[in-house]
Amino acid sequence: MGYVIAAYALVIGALAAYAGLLARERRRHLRADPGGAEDASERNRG
Amino acid sequence: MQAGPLDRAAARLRAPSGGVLLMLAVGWAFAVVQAPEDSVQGVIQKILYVHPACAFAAYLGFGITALAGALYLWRGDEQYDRLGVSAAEVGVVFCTLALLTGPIWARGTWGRWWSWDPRLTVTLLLWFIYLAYLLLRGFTEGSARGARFAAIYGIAGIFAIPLNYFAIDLFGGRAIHPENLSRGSLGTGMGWPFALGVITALVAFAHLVFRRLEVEWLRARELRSEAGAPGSAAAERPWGT
Amino acid sequence: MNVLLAVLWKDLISEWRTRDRIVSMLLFSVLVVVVFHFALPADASRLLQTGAAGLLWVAYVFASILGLNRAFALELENEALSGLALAPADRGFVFLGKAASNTLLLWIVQGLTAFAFALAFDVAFLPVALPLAGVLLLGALGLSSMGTLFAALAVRTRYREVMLPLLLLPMLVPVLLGAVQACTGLLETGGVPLPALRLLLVTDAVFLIVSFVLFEFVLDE
Repeated sequence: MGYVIAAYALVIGALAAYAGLLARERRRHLRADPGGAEDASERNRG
Repeated sequence: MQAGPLDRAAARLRAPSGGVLLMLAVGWAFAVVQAPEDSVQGVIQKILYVHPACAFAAYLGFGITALAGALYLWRGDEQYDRLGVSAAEVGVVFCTLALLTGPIWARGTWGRWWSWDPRLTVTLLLWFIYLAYLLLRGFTEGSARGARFAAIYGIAGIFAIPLNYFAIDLFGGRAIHPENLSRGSLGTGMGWPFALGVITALVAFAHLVFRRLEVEWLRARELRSEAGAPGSAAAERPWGT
Repeated sequence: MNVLLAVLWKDLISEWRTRDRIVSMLLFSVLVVVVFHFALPADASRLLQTGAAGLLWVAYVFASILGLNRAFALELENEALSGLALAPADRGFVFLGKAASNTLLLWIVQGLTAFAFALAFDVAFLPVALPLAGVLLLGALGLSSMGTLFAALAVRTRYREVMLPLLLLPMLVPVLLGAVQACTGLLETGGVPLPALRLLLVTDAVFLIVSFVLFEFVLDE
């Protein structure tokens, strides 16, 4: 049973941590230059 | 620096895919807890609801990396390079998880962590290959040459999948080592948690790729503005020439 | 085709003048074999008979990486890489020429090392010398085709000496599987096992085609 819990905790934990790291970096970039989010989703060129 | 349709789609889909993921994950958790215990293996069999799903996501990631590489070489559009690195990185994450959950299951079932099971071995090879892809791209940070080299390697690497499975087939699944652990087969009541697990993993993969794509675009944009010019020439770092 | 032969000839001639690649590859390969003697247990004679192919191919892989690291280093030092790119229609044949020269050099090193191995460990290669040479050539081709492509990449990357083995080794597994199985079968029964031969042929074909196509994009500046 311990193995099962370890496996699921590992998967969910790792994925959540990775998502968190990405979110943190995203916030860091947007704080430095807030134009980013708008550029990505609204600019209609390219 | 312009955001391509892929970048825009990633930014738009990030939140909704996250919502879908959350709902799926909850539903899947219920299904896993509810699923009957395997008569032979016991509760440890439930790891097989998450282990192959991670492997599928990883293989999907590597396939996308190869495809994105081909598109980049053909079109020269940098958004394909960004897609390639994002899919590769998320793929490596899922691959690592597959390589960890597999041995956990093996240890609980057979008492051994690693046995050179052919399929897990191929997954290990792919892990090395796409980790090398990330290293290659990392050592040529931000340059068009780096993107090109990575695309080349990402395409070459994907051929490891058919070639190695062909090798496994030829040697009757034994390859060099005679052991071949059989996969647990699914009994009644186990189809749903398994299918749900695969779907959840794939949605998780997509969601993480969207996030990673966005971050990659932000990084590239920052690199460009640091270099002072919106073009690519300023971002070139001529290693080795 | 002329370009292929021209590149091959130029490479072999420059190699013949200095002989630095082939000598270092050969020395290294034989050194690995010597290290095996010290690394294996005292009464390893049975292990050596059954595992001879495996040990040899380990030595071959490392020797080939040594040679490949040098394959483009000369051009890089002399800024000749851009010269190679001047004829876009011929780039594929430039690749084939380079891969051919790498294959040939490796094949020679393989043969001489096998000879040294046979002497050192009393393994009988002579009865199967001809088919063995064929298998060694097929293996060398597999190693050198992908190897030449990746060497061209690695040589213009940071940490180039480390980059090549990292890129190449995981990809080489099917070649190793086929070559080791083929050599082992050859030593045991005198005939090459067909599945191993098929694997080698298929892998070589895939590697050659993929490398040939992708090399176009290496010199794309």
